[in-house]
Amino acid sequence: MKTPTQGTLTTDPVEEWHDLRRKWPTLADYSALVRLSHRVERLSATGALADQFVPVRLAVLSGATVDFLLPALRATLLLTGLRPSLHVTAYNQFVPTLLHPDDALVSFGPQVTLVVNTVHHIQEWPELGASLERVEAIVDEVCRSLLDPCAAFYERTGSEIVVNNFHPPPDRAIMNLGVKTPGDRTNFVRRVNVALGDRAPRYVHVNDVASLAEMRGLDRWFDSRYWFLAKQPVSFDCVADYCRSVAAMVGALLGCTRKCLVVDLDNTMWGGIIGDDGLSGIQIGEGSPEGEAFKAFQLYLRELKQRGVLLAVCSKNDERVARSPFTDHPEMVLRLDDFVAFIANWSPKSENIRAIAAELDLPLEAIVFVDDNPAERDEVARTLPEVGVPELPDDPAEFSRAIDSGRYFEIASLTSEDVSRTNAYRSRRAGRAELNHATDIRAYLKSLEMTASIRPFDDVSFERIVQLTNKTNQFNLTTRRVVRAEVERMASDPRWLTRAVRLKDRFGDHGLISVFFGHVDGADLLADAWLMSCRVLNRGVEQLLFNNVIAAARMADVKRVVGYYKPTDRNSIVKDHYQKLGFTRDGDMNGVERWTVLVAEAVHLEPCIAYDDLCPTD
Amino acid sequence: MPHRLTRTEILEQVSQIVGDTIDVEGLALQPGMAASDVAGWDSLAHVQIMVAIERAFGIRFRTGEMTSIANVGELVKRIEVRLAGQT
Repeated sequence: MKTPTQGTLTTDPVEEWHDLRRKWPTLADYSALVRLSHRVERLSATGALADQFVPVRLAVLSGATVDFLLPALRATLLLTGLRPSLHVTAYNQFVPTLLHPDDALVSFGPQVTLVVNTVHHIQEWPELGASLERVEAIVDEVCRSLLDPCAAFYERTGSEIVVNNFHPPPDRAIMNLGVKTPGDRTNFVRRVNVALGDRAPRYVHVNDVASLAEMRGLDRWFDSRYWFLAKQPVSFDCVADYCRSVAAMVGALLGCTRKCLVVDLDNTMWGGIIGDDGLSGIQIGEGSPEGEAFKAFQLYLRELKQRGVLLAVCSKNDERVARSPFTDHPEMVLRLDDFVAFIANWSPKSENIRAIAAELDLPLEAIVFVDDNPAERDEVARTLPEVGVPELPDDPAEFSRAIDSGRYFEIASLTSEDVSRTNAYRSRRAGRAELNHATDIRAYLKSLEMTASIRPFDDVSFERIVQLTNKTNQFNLTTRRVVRAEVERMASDPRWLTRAVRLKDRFGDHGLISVFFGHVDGADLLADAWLMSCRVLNRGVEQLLFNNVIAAARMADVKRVVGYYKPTDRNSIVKDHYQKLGFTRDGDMNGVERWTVLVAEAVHLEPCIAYDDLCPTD
Repeated sequence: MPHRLTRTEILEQVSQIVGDTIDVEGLALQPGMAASDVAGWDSLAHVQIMVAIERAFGIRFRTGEMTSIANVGELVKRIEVRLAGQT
């Protein structure tokens, strides 16, 4: 295939890839989007990049024409870190397909299914004069006509499902009075959107087309001409927006989400330079328009923190001076304890970001860096291409929108671990500080006063199990990814042994931090997955879990436990995991190491963790 | 005062756009050619070509005319009319 960009390339594919990734959040021109999509597709197959994608089986159930969306969607998914296999079903058959998926679709086994439905698929509309009661009955019917088929499909396939909600119709005969008229079509569509969000079950994820259309303006979002001509669901100028939104949702379901936002200080968190202008000279808070803009940005950062994004500071400054606004300026929204790391020095920012990532045990792919200075952004983007570096406009009033439009932090659900994450990381750092003083490691571990619970998977934990399994890259023996339905199936299938570990210590509750699942095959227990959050590395959790798995294996008459280590470029910290637990390496297959231990010969290990809720059998 | 595009210049740009869309390098369309004379210019490509032309020239076609243009010469003429209407 030939594209105009083909002949001009002498650049390094990795560099070009990251350049495309930087461009993507603001791309709008459809022709350019298609052209660059071909480029993304080709680059993703080159040796330097080919291994870094999480595979995903994606079904697309068309309501409208999807031919114009698919190349851009594929490219956007690739840039998100996912390599999709697509299964696209017949035009406008999404309801019968959801109700009765054919064998080809069922055996394809979609992990995520996209339903490309539009406002034109709403079958029943209220008459203009309909009573509120009647309108609500129709709202109910419209929601059911979409969600019932989704329920049937989920039952059959276990696929997560993404549906669109609805932008309002492009015209409104009754004008402003529509606000007080439940039967008005715009009024009705708004009610349907609210009801759809309220009623969508956990496995149905709503792509918020209504809000995308609002952001862009309906005139721009929907072009009636191309609907009539080609049943194109979204105007060509907004195809990129649509794809970015959907790809971020699919990414969130498969764990390709960023976790930490590293911010600069001078002219990013406040106006001016604290070292030159001093506490009374910087612009922050009420009193100046720019100060208000920076305050609004800090409020946005606080909101990110409250939903689980970790905040860190990386500033070229004297540390004491850099801290002073957080402790001494009354208008600052953010305080020192909102951050999990604070680095102010004169080293290159890329070095500091690498240090922050190491300190938090996060991969560089989990990090987004925000700085008003283009030179700093460039240095970080070039040195650490894995880090997300949004192009920041030069006006603080627009910072938050620029970060939003990169869709770095899309999540499919909010768990209690998300909400308390900053505290968990901070207490872990306090724990590390103690480690520096403790000479005897066992004495240190004892001093942490750890208690753990180990339970089979249960429904209160499913969400977190899926999230942890899909996000963990380092302490992860097989990097096996799962969707919720698989986890539920394992939990209810007696052939599977499932374990979820929670851990507390005197600094705080770490929540659910380790997952094991394996299945019994004859006299063997095959360990399909063993993973742990690096927050609790070197605490003895794996020894505790090993004891528990061996006990469960014994109860189930299993003679041998078989573990696998599938090396990736991130999980070398567990390369000796099975050896340390007393397993013997017995053969490799396709680059996967196989380790075994006889249950009768397994050694009982002695970690320094009290059991507060342990469950050796199912 | 911006330069008014000649019919030949419009034809060249249209050739470029069509060539980019259907992945043919150096495509030289002639006014008498219809979509059916150009391999790859099918109904899906046609929509993409309309989108790209609208964007490149900053014009909007009417819903009906997008499927009723008989040949390349007529397409160029329509673009010319639209461009003239803007000034």
